[in-house]
Amino acid sequence: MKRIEKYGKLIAMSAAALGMTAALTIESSLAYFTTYVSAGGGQIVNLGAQTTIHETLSDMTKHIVIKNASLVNDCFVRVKVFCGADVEITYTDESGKWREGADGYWYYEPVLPASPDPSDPSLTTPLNAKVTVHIPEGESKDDFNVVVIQECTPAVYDENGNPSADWTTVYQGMGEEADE
Amino acid sequence: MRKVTYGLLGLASALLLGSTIGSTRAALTYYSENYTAKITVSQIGVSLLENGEVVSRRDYDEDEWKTSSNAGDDSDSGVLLQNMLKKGEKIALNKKYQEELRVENSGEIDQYVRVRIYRYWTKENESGDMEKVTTLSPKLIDLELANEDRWIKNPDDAAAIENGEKECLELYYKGVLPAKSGEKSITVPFAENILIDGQVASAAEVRDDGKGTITTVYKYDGVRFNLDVEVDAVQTHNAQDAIKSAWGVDAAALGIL
Repeated sequence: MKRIEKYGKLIAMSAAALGMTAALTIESSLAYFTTYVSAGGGQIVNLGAQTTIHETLSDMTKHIVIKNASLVNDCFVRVKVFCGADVEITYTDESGKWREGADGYWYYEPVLPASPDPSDPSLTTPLNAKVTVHIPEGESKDDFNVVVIQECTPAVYDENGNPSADWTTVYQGMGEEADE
Repeated sequence: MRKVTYGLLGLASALLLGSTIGSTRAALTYYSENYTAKITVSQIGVSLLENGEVVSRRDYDEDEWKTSSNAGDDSDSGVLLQNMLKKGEKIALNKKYQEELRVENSGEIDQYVRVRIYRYWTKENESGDMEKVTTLSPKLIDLELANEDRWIKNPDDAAAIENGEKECLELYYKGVLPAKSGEKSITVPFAENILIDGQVASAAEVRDDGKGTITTVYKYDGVRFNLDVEVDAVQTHNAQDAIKSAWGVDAAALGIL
């Protein structure tokens, strides 16, 4: 009988505690009207550029064409021709899209679009560089070098989406963080 | 003793039976005219609008939660930025894209609202799962905020967000967003445009193969920027306590009441 009394008290107190807990829970869950919604999304940022120079030679004239080999990114390109002092270069550009800069580079002014279809590559119009070698009288010349270099820079857009070239870009290298 | 127990049991049964019959009789002997009454309980609801279109909605209606989104009615969460680019278009860094975000009170009662905006970068790893890129700052995902006099930033977070240390930004709408008031049930936009900062392309290497091909390789090629928005709404009745309970902030101190 004593045991029953002892457990009876325990059961009664447990029941009371449970009841109070339940009462508290009920009160807070019924307290306020709330609701929520959510949404999310994003896009992939594709970066990368690849350009290839194509040169052909005819009648002592180099025909220079640059190809944008990137599948996704547009870019701007420029070329520069290096040669010795006894070699003269005369440029011709039938398309009118190349512009000679004060720094000796020839800039292809339109943006060079990406080539999403490799069978239909995106190419510049040809820039023709006619090579004339001045050999002083009584001398002969066996060989000479004319070197063409090309550079590219990704198209940079303004807030309205107009592309432009930034030839002053200095990359931080692969180890640096972009937010520093 | 046993007799007393049986006696009491019998009495209790008789009383119970008697009371049942009594009430049944009452129901049978009195008819009232039929009235149809619909009890309206407080129905709260909220929607998120992107460029004027509802992307996600959750309303309490006829005793159940009704959700819908532009990802399909079965999905609780809507999809943002799915019309950001035209078909075949690629993201241009530094270009502004329209991303007008508003909140609509689509329920039956007035409410206070807040939004939580998450900006972060992810990239697919070798096993094909998306994982967070923690070396790129969230601030390079430049969501242009608007109407900052109506959408109040949580002052505790402002400095951390400015430094790009925190990816979650909380904005609290100042004042009550009324129900069933047409255009007035829609907030002014809390964001207008989104722009991806060109800084993301600053880590790169130029490789020349010596055969006329120049390749620029970018560290963050193929990263995905993510924008998640959560909208919370709470009743206006007993607002100070309701907001404290639901959002854990002091609404009076924030100046949104």
